[in-house]
Amino acid sequence: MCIKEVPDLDPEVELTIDREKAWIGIDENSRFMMNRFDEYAVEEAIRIKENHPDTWIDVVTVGTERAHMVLRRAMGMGADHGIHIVTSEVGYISPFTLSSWIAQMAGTRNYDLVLTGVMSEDTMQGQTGVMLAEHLKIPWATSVIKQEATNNSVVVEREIEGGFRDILELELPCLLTIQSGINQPRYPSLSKVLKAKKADLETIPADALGPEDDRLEVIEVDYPKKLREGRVLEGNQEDKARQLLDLFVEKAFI
Amino acid sequence: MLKKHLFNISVNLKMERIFILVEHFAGKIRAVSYELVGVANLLSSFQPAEIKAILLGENIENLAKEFSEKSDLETFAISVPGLETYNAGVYKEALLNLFKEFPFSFCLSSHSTQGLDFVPALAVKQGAGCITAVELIEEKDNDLIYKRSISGGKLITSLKNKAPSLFLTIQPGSFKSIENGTTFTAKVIQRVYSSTSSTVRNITTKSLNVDSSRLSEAKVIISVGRGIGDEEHLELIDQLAALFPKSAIAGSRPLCDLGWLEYKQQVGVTGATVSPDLYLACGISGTSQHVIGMKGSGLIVSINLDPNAAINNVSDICVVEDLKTFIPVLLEEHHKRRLL
Repeated sequence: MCIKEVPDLDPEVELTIDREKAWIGIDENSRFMMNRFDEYAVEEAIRIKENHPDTWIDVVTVGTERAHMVLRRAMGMGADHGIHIVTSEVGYISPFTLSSWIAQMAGTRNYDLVLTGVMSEDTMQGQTGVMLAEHLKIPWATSVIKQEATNNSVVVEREIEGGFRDILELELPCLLTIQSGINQPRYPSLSKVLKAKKADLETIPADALGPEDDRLEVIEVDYPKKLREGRVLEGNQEDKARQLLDLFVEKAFI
Repeated sequence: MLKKHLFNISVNLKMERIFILVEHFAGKIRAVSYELVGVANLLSSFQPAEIKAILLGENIENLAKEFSEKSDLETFAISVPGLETYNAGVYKEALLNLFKEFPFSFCLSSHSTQGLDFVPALAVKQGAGCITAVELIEEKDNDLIYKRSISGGKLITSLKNKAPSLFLTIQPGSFKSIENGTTFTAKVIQRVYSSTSSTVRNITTKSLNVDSSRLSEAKVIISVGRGIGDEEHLELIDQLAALFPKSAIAGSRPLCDLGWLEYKQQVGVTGATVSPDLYLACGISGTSQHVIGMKGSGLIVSINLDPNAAINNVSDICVVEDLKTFIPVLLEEHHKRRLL
């Protein structure tokens, strides 16, 4: 299980930019959560364990000291063990680097199945899972919306465009990137949360896993340009409602 | 002296190569493939390059001919016996085999469930850079800069590649298509590749028979996102939709995932692409995946509590309010008018 801590995109939290670091600004007001796509993947792993009780679930994350919270949340949901690859600085880490670090950790542990979210909500690249599979030299399927694992293989439905699904059978070991909607992730249970709070996490300093791959460089982060005027209506709710209704009448929508 | 001179010329004339991976499904070329040609033309205007297209599949010659006729590009038709539908492992193998013979500086594919499925693995194998969901390419200080959205479209990053070659997946609808009805003489290079990859077996492709015709016919679409909060508030959306004749209710992916709406009501990359006269986005954050499906709409109005929501960047009118309190006021104001 590979999961990631991402900045909360809730409307009450303003997203800032750290110009110097060319990355998303992090300050005392920043809030973090588990990447929602990863929640679906954690839930799917737990369901597999429920069907195959001899399953052991390791959950791994790469991040600064703070990121142990998402490991504990996953353990509160039902994962068995947390592995934290600890980075010293906040900032962009390329999928090449992330996947190579996780692959070095996973290399000797012989996992049967590796699950990741289809992408992260912050960088939205959708690359780390596939690159990890390539590093581990195992087959993969992305955008998985349904899976049935047996002892030797897994049959998956992967969502493709236009309301179609590819149905594939993969030999184990393999990697799946999980699409949202595959399940309804459970809330962590209180007893498991208490246990997870005290659990010893395995920590691996990222520095010990070799230098970052510097194929890509983020040179700037900015706010997007407006594609349309985006006129903000002024006044109280009644004023705004009246302006909107006037416009709908003028355009003959109502 | 002369020798040195000639050498310099040959260096200056060194041509780069750009590959376009043409995406096709059920015997049809996906329209975005012609947008990739536009991207390749743009890249070669910064650095002269020969542009070649690649199609893979079983009995692929006719599609390769069609693409070559419409794009005027020399096109590789790589026939792979048994490759009836897309398969990541086979695509990877066959392409690596071609790249050994034909090195490249850029390789372009669509930012789709297919492009994203195999391109990152190829990049690892090739020691190349890989940038996904590219929306804009610019030149800055003699370097090419690739722009893409992050954090649900609230921010945009500019990236630079430092590897010797680069894979790009291109966000559909971001670059101009070159298709304009002109046809050229086809230039198809036929190849056969026999695959040995067997760890992933395609069983079948099934259709969910998603009928989004109601959305494509609607003049007004009331679209709802996570900002609705609770399922019970969907009642407000029903009431709002009732104000408009020829309206339909749609939504963003999270609501379909929750089962509050049906998947046939989903607008965006994995749902429908719509262009009604009015698109009223209620509590929709506006991720790039959603915006792709609705940015061609006539008038776009957003109702969202978050003044910085990405949806506001594609909206004509923004109402920064909580839809749960604002829609009742809107309904009430409308009711008053009808009584006058």
